[in-house]
Amino acid sequence: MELNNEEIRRYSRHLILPEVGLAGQKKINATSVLCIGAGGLGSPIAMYLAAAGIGKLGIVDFDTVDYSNLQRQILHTDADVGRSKAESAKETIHGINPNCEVVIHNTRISSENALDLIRPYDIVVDGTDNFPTRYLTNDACVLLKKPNVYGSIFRFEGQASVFAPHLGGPCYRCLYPEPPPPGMVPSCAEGGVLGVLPGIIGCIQATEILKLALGKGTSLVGRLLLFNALDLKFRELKLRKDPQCPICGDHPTIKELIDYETFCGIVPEPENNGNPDEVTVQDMKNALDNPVLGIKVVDVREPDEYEIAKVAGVSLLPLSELQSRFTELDPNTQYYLHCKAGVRSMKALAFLRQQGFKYVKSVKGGITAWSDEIDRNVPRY
Amino acid sequence: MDSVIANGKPVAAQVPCSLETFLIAQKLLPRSVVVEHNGEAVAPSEFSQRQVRAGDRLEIVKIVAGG
Repeated sequence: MELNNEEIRRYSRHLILPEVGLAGQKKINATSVLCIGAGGLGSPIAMYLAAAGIGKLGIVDFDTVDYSNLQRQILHTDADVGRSKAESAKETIHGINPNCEVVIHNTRISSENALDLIRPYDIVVDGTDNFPTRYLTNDACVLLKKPNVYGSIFRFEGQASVFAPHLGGPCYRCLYPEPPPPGMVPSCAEGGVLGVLPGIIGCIQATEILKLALGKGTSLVGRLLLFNALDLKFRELKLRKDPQCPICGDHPTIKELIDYETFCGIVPEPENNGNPDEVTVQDMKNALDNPVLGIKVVDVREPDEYEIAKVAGVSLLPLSELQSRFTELDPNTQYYLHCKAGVRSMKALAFLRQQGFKYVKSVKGGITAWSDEIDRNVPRY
Repeated sequence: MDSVIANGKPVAAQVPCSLETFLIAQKLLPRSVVVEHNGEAVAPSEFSQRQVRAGDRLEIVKIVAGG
């Protein structure tokens, strides 16, 4: 495909780079990329790739835009809150470069659709935010021999690499053969993330994609690049392909996609009856409204979170201090524990049970559910 | 107790021991970290045989999933 005059002007700063030139720009224009996730990482990736002239950009995201996304997900604007992320992304990308063909997949990537979604694209970029989808993306890319441009972020730190066993490098499972037990590694929703961090890591992923398209430079295959925003330092680890890797090793045991939720230990929540260790926010309200019941409510979030949003009548005992301070609680009193969403309060519950506390329950959905169902004046964060 | 250099800082450890034992003693999940040992990449399947000795340099990275 020849470049028209408008494209020659648009890509002129590429065209005058000897490493890109007209031939390189044509390669970029002929490349298709599937971006899994249109969130923090997906935003700079999709926007820069579109600007650079990637010919076809697939966007997979089933989610809608939330106010809490806007601090970092620059594909979406204030006016997009409540809209489909995939739709919003398409509009933003089209505004940057109408020559970029955007295909939106407003669906959750799953074992059933992943191979069909990925197959038509040259390169896959992982901008997802959870373990099951990361393992799914990895396995599908290994099976289809597609380069998987990886990035992940948490708080002030990020990592990036290019997984491509078919090019001699390792895959995600060569690094992390198994996921951590559920709840062991907090998500950005639980632990926070500096808004610009996905900008930095996402731009590194976009750089790697352009280099793959051009066939230039030294890629991150076989290297894990790490970034720490607080120290403003980069470091790098050498990686190797694991001959024992269950999907790309010498004797692979995974030959097709599996159930990734089960693999990551995520058990679907039963409807209604739920977990006997859990109570609802309505139960928590009853406890607070009726002190005669003798039920105490304890917030196990960190003090900074307590400052952002709290419920009157609840005492604070952060999970991080529980081990040293649990003796402040009475093992014979009935406690309802809450956190932000119900994960940490379950951990606190498990710990207190071990210490002999018999009457402890975790508030399902935490203060987020309280804000949704009981008191909208309590801010969601 | 002897020490090793983990991520640039000295860490007291009962060495020599296997890399897997060292990681568990540091309260790290051996399947959820990437390790470079004295500048060499180490695959997770080698963690149980790889010996860590006093003064060794380790770079350890924990898994994160945010995006």
